Amino acid sequence: MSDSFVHTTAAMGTVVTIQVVGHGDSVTERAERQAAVERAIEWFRVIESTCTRFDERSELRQLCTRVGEPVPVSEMLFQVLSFAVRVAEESGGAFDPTVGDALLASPSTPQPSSYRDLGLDEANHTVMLRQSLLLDLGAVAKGLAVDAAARELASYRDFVIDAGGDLFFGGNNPAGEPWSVGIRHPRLDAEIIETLQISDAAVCTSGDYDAKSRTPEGGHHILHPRSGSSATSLASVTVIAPSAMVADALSTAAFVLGPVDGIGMLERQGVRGIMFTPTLERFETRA
Amino acid sequence: MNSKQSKNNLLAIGSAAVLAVYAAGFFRTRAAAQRFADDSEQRRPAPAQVDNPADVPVLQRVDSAPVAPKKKAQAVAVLQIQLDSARIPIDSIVPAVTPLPPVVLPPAPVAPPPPPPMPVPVVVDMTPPPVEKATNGLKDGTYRGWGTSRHGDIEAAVDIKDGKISAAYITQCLTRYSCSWIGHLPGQVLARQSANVDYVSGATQSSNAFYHAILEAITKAK
Repeated sequence: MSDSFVHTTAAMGTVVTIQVVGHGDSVTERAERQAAVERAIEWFRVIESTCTRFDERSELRQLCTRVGEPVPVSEMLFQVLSFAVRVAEESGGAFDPTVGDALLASPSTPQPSSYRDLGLDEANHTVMLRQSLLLDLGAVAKGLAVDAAARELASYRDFVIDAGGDLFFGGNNPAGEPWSVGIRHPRLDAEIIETLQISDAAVCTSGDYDAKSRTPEGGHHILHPRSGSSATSLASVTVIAPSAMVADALSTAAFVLGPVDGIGMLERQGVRGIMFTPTLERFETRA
Repeated sequence: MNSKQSKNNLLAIGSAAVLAVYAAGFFRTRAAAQRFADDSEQRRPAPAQVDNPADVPVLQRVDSAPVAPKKKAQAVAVLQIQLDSARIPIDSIVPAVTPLPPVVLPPAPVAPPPPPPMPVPVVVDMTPPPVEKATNGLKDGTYRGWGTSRHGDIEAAVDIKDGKISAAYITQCLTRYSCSWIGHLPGQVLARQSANVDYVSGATQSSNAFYHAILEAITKAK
């Protein structure tokens, strides 16, 4: 680790750590590296300020105040929403960016909302909400920030971005080997259930251990959009993909779909997935 | 769901989305880097002040075509620097002189459009170069110099007349980015009679390369 530059900061409601391997120890080189990391971190702030559902001034929340009319949105918000809708389509609604209302536990919408209530006009870059709803882009936005940060650091080749479980591994570790990545044991604290060798890929794990929501009976934060209840047939889903945004969204969707449909979707999308059920039965996509 | 297989290639869609967002937000993160640079260390020494504003000559025209480009030159551009009053308050410091109209040179082989922003770090050169003193007593003539950066090279030239810098230009821009980013720097050379130009947010490398090119040119005039 001695020839690595490590920077940790708080962003997007989590801790973001960036490690850059090597690239010299001179004053100039250190300054270069620090500036690159600062730009990478800035992506988290920029994307969060647009896509957060926790700040009513965000573009996302502003969009949610206008129902029934096409609203011009920024390139960033349009891309994030477009991608989220595609994932929703692909997963048959298992992933749905409109679950925000259920997450807030305030059933104010007259009828259940879904991604089908979003009208995206690619030509005009507008979004229309066909009914009152809340949007939650958490799973996509954090992955997007990791991907943008990874592009920012691409010239350094060997680096890691860790944003609260959304990980991207560029190149190799300081020993010149692929990064060694542990998958957290879904049932035993501080235990690793499996170790992967990763290079130039994102690794995202959706589990039932990350965040307890305010639902009773210890429900977790990944909700089935249709039932509003927590998905229970899997304990964790890890997706390995070239993009953290894809890995995060697909791990979330696969977690909701369960082992059979989840593996099917991951294989259709050509990404690698590893799943564990609460009884630690293991499923993996075929290579 | 199976029928959606060909429609939604999420890896391709996601990759395109990241690219679009990256391109659209690129400049916002540049600003962050610049804040960082501003906060971190002293950079080059403060620009030399023009002691006697009346000495600042009016920009002359470029007399000659650019020299033959270096091998593999992709883009050759001569930027005739206009005295932009918005940037260089030349009128306020040379009130009695009317600037000549700028000579617009035909663009040499048109530079290809700059490539999309790439994740290349902006370098903050922490090494303070020697303080450039006012350039009195230079030999008349036109002098050229090269500056290098990791983004490519810049050739700059100065015209010396009556011992002063009478014009400064970027004669060749071989950087990956458009030299329009630093197009106002030659005006600063003229106004300050020195190679000490400002950093350019988002184009620190290019401005450093320009600085070294001018420094070399001025050195040749001594």
